[in-house]
Amino acid sequence: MVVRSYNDELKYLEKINNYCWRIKIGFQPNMKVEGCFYVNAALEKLMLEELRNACRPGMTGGFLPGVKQIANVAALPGIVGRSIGLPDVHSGYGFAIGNMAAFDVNDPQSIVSPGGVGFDINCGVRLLRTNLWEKDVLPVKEQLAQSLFDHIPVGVGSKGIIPMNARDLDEALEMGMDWSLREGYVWAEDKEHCEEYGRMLNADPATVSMRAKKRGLPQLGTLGAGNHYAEIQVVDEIYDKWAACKMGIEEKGQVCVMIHSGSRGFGHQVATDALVQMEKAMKRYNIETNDRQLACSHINSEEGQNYLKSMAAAANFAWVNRSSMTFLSRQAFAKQFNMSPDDLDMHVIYDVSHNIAKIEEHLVDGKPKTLLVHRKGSTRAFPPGHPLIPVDYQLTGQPVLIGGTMGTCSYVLTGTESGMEQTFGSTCHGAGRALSRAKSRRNLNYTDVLRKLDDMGISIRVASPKLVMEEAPESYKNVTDVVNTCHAAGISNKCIKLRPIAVIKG
Amino acid sequence: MSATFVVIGGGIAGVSCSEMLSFLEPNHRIILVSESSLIKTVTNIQALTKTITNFDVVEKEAQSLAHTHPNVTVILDSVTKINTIDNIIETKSSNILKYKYLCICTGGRPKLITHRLPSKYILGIRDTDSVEDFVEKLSDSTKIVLVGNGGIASEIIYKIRNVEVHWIIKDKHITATFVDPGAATFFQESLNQTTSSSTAKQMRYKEDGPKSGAALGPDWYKNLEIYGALSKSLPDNIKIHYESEIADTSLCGDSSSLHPIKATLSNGVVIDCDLIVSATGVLPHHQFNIEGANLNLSKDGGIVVNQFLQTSIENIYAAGDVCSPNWPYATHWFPMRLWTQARQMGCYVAKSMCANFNKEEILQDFCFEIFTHSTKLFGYKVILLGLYNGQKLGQDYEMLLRMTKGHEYIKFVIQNGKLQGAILIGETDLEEMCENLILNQIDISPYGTDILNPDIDIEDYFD
Amino acid sequence: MFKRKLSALQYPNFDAVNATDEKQFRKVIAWLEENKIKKYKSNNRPISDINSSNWKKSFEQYKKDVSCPVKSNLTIEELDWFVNFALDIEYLKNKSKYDQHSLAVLKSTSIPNVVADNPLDCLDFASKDFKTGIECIAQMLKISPHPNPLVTLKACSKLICSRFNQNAIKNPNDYIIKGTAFPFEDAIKGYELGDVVLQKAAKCLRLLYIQNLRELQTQCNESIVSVQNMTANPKTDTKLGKVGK
Repeated sequence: MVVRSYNDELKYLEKINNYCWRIKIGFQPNMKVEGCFYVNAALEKLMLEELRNACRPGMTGGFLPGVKQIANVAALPGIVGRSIGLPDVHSGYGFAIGNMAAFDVNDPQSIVSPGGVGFDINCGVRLLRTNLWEKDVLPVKEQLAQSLFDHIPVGVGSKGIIPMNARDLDEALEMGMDWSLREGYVWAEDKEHCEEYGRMLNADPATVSMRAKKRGLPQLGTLGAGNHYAEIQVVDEIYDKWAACKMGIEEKGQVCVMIHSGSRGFGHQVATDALVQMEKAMKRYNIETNDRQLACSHINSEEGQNYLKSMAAAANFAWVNRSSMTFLSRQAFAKQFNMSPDDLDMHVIYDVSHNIAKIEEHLVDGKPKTLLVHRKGSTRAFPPGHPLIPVDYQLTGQPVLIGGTMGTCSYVLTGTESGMEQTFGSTCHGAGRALSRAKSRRNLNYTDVLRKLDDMGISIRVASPKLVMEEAPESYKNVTDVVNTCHAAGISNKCIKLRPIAVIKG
Repeated sequence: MSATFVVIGGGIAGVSCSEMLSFLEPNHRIILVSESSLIKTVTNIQALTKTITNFDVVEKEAQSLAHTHPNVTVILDSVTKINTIDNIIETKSSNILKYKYLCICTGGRPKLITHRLPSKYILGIRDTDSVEDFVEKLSDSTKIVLVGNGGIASEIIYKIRNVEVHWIIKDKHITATFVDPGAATFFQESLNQTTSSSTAKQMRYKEDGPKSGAALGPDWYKNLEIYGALSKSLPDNIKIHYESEIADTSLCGDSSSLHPIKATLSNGVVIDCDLIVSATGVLPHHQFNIEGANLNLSKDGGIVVNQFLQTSIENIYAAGDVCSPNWPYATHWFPMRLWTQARQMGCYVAKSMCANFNKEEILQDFCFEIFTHSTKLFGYKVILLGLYNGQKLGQDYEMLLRMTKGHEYIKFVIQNGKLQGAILIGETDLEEMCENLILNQIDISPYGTDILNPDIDIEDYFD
Repeated sequence: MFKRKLSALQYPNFDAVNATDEKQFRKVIAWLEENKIKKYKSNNRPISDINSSNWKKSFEQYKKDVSCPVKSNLTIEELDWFVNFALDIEYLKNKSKYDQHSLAVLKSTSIPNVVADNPLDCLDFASKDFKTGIECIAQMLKISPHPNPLVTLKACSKLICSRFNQNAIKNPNDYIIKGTAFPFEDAIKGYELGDVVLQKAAKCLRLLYIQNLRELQTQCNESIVSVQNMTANPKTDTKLGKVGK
């Protein structure tokens, strides 16, 4: 670890434009490529503040600031382009959350790292539209929130309404959303509006440990704890009329449902098992990294391939989770409005993945290359005309769903050609934490938070009161700053803004 | 009468088991035999993490279970005999029930201290009926002796008003079953504060007939008002006697004494009092004869069960306080007679019996991988995770603490740089992260004490 | 694999031909040349000498002479080509005889031979009148004419069939495509071709391609739904009221 003063550190950072900073080679040892991060004025302050704190005397060890983590990733073997920090970046295990990095699959030195995917594999967001308006929902929003609460078992580990035994689990891990389709929980149309059509084909349940399966088993149909939630939202602003129209969003006030969940305990176990294997593999293959947490293995090694297969199984598991919740949400609405979900036009607008690694084709220096793209706390954002996005969005670009936090807005963005060039078709994933919880505890009054949310007309249901505090809007990097930075930098376009009217927390 | 599944016991384990069976096997008949016309059901389940669940227990009229679960029949009776050859049980009122699978969930009975007193002077607390009895007796008392150092004793101490209490504990600190001395100190602050008493309505139904109820659930005291005969609480009305036990008890015999009985402690102290309350835990409770085969019992009298909660007789299972788990425990799990485990076992035993019935493979439920318990003590939310008191670790571990007076108390149990257990008191928001850190066994040594640094946000770092 | 073809050619012993056997291969080639193909004069057939050490060379020459395009290491394909070639010659030689059995003839014989009194059958598609007539219809239907009037006619026919059939006239709302028109010229980005007309054309092609894709995707969804009808069995709490699609 290089020890330098804050001012010396700043020499390695250069502001390219109002929204992007360059991290020069040398900021951390062995950097193969440069790093960069996207910020606006407000986020820039938070980013540099974090670095300044880490440079204070006696602050060695412990947690690395996000900007250092981005640079350590730039030192991994086989990385191409740049190691990219998105506006909501904050420190995480190994890779910062909000860091994306691509590795050349055809370079035998290239690596895959579980830290670059995260523990909650394929944590993501799904948005359902309805043909209801705010005025239809407002009078019954308490009942609807209650009904959703009844239908969506809240909290990790709660007994799912959808039962699943060991054999079902193996099939679900292999088939992903196709399992949900086969069993009749979701509609055929849902599949086409999912990244990867809701199924990673290279998933292999045989590479998943028994412990992971046990840890995953009773969780289906449940929302996760912490930042996992379902929300009833209304369209608050439409920035791109035609793109919104393609998504079936016509006017302000239209009601949507946002589901936010991942693979949870199962993903944790898959990642943990892989980390153990890779620590051994690194010795065998003589791979060196700046940070022990960046445990990794060559993509084509046995360990690398096993990880990719089990990660794919975890990704499939997350899609089954979101599909189960889709089913339950549709039931709740159908029951409340006494209409079939079909008549309520409850189609999936899109389903995005935040924590995942995928093989993709990209242009690097004008040449097509096959890359393994790690996105951790980052969303794929492919441009119009890309063959991997659904036919309905061929003209608009891929929808990108950005979940805010309780009381703040959520956004729908679309992918751009410029994002394809700058960030391998990646953009932000949501709000990032700026203040620690303890700080927010000092700054926030519990009752004030509740009162504030109440004033905004949001009906709150919390599985435990702590969540109101933990996920309080004030403790996050402002989602609007994050989204605006991405828009201004051209890596995604703002399309729709959504405002929550009822929250169901897990 | 006959049924595919017969469950004995109307407590948390038995009812959870019946509900789960009804859900998993809607086309098969289930009979629940309960001694009490009130059964315990779990409601308001709030899952805090993968394995930690908060829930309320409410008592319901036994037949209500049959209304919500059409394939469940509830019989109010007590089992006298199990015939393992013909797979038949016999009851007190001469009911004969034939079963394919039998699940014993008869719970536990309170341990009582040995004494030579008329039974009206001594009271064991374990089930709701005994609590009712306690409340009634306390209203005539001005001075009592409380024995026991577990959750129930701690809550009585916390809730009790207008009576002088002598708390006899065999340990060096209070609430030793659950917490370490540090946390006890943290709690003791709140013992001296007067809390606003609950005026919530009583949730109990009236019940007639013989009384033999199921164990207390979490928050059993929530709606109780426990008042002694004194007009107000005295400033020092709680006196704790550490490292002592009751050595002898006797009637005063002296009519001039204010209190009818005398308790002599192991350290020689003699206390005059109106009532001795014993809340020293439970022993497995099974009072029926077995014909045809023997049930293996453990030293404490619990029914020995394997990892599928199967007893030594193939089609007889057991769950809850009555059983003694006998399988190689996972590193971070151990059994404890708690409502949390009663519910977990109740749900799991149902799955296990169904899997056996359908000849399906079953994986042991993940809740047996890590010990968890969520409760309320002294008004604080308390979460216990893994080897929270360094169980199994001997002296070979370190503690990492964070405490804010009157606010939160956090203890990490760390061995070889990895988290082995944790106590989280107050609204810490750390339960999911701790659970994952224990299960994942991630090396947290690089973070040092920073992992509990209040200025660092750790919660979604491991996302 | 050549059994049927060789038997049609009346090759003796057609049952036992094994093309991978070098000797048999040569024998078949020689027989085909001698009896069917007859490229060379009967006195000058080097490939008839199947035991010659130069046979392969002669064969290469023969292939050139009959313009056989098959590469020489593909024995089976070569043989197949020669058999087909012989069949062709055989067919052409007796075309009239074989055509009597052709499908087209068989069909027409089963239909009473009607004298064409339909004036449409006598239309001269090349005439100027035809062209202006079609353009006139196209104009009425608001279809842009194609230089080839037959293509324009096809477009007109397509429109009439889909939108002027009985059902469509009865329930026009079922057939009129609803929704807001998509401003494709402004909303489709990324086609900076420099030529306005070319750009517009490219965008139109793009839209047509997307429409094709959409139809394909819809067919996929329909197949999934039909499979779902057999497999779906959502195991949920039925108390919540069964809500499916």
